[in-house]
Amino acid sequence: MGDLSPEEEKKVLESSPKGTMTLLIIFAIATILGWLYMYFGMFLTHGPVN
Amino acid sequence: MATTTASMQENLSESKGQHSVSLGLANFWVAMIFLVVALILGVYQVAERSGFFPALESPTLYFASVSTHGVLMGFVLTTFMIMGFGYYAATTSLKMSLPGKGFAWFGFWLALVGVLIAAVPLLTGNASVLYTFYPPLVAHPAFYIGATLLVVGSWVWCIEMIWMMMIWKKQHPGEAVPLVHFGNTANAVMWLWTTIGVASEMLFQLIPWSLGLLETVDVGLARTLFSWTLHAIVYFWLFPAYIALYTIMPKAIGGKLFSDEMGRIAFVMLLVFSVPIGFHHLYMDPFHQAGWKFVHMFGTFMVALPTLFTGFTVIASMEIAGRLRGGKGLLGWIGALPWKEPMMAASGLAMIMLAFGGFGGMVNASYSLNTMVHNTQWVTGHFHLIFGGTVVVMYCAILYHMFPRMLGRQLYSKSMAVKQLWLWTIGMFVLTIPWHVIGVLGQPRRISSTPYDTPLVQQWDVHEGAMIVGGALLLLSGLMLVWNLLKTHSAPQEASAMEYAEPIHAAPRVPHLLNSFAFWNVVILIYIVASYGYPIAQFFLNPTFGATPWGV
Repeated sequence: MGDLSPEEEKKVLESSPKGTMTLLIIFAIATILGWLYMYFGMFLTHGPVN
Repeated sequence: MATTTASMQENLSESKGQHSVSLGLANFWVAMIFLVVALILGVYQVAERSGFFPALESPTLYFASVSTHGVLMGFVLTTFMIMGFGYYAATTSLKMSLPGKGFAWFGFWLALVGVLIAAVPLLTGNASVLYTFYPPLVAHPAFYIGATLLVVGSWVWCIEMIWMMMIWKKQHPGEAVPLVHFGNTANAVMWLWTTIGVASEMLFQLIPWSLGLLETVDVGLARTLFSWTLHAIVYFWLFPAYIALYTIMPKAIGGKLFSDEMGRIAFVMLLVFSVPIGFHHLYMDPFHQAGWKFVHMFGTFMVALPTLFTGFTVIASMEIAGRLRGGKGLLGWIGALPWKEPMMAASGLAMIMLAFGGFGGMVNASYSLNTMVHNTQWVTGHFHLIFGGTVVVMYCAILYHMFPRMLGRQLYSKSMAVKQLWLWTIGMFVLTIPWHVIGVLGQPRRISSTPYDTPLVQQWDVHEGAMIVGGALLLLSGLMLVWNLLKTHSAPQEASAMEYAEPIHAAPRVPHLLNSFAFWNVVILIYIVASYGYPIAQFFLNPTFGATPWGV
């Protein structure tokens, strides 16, 4: 457990969740790329239904 | 003075949720017993389907097993877990006793009797309808009657949750309903709305049809009514997991909830958006026009919003806790989190599985991509990852958190709990990644064997083998869970109160729309009529053809 002073604790509670935003941006990019791969790489390459 | 002391004792008792302990424990144990049964059946199924063990091969037994496994996991484990969680969370968060406790017990017994009635045809192979309500597959009437009693039992829980919220609000005018109970009530309201579909199908179609009172049944109408319930049920399962992530996890890891309002908004959005999205299960059905399916695709994608809100708020709450524990840098707080706490481990693992499962869900929801994965093992892999992964791992964390507090004892082994959660997650990935892959490779779902000697089928072998390993890991993990909780009944005594996370900015009052469901009920009604009105009405306006029973 970190031993933070009251000022440091206040600073943490008032800070922006930059790490969270970073993780979510990575997730969003990975999801979009994954979806595009599924659509262009797998779905369209199946070709028309015969 | 004596009155004051008695009142204090009463308050203390209420804060510990003593009024709901026996009811909560009864619900939890029913859930766990059936979880173990379902896990055993699951291992048998992956082994049978692999074709590696000819002695096991029996389509009759396989489909009876799949039907029982699905009912136990999807309807029984979930309903009893949700009821147990709701009752204990309600009494401890609202600090009030359970009104109509006898009524709540009646709901429990009604649901349990329903399960036992349904179990007879399931276990005797007379309800091998793959845990669905899709005619012309027909089951023995006892299956439908038993399932209906289970749902009616869950309605008692819904009434209790709404009733408690009303009493609390009357006693605390203008105050914000605690987030944990706001979430549970949102789930209850959502469940009441969404079970209208399957209840109508049961009462007006399947039960009279299976009893021979009707000669034929309109398959298109039945499938449409079932879809009304079919996907929102996932959010019924998911609600307790989300509630625990918002209200229990931040406190358990020494932090605070990033935002109480975000939680309320997410719960309201889940409530409103989740009911009509089951229509995407009908993308490949010929009964509905492409335009309706296309419109419903957008409705289905809307449900990603509350999930993203939840992802942000929950991870931000973790970040706060990690930084309060001394974590530095952009992502250094992750390592500072208390990963040896079961609630922390489960929450982190649940979010990882939700990320992967959510991606699969976006593929399913896409009208075009759905044609590629429809009715393949991809779908089975997807719902196992979301339900068996995210939902069940959070159910485990809820049990580890609530059980010791309900019993006034220490958890038997915290380290075993954390190992069990990791084992469950690893097992789930080992099971579901191959499941997704063989789905894309073309293996249909709902099959008992693949007796084709072709290069395509041979490609599936390695994945089938991995799935057996995954299933075995999950069974082992499930047994560890039950053992740990069983031993907790005799662990050393230790009284700890059930406490919920405080938000960074506590707000005694919140906007009326985030503290009440009256307005949202009107919105849901309009949304349902707009999205399901014509698709259902067309079966009465246009000539349709009834189907005779097929199967039992």
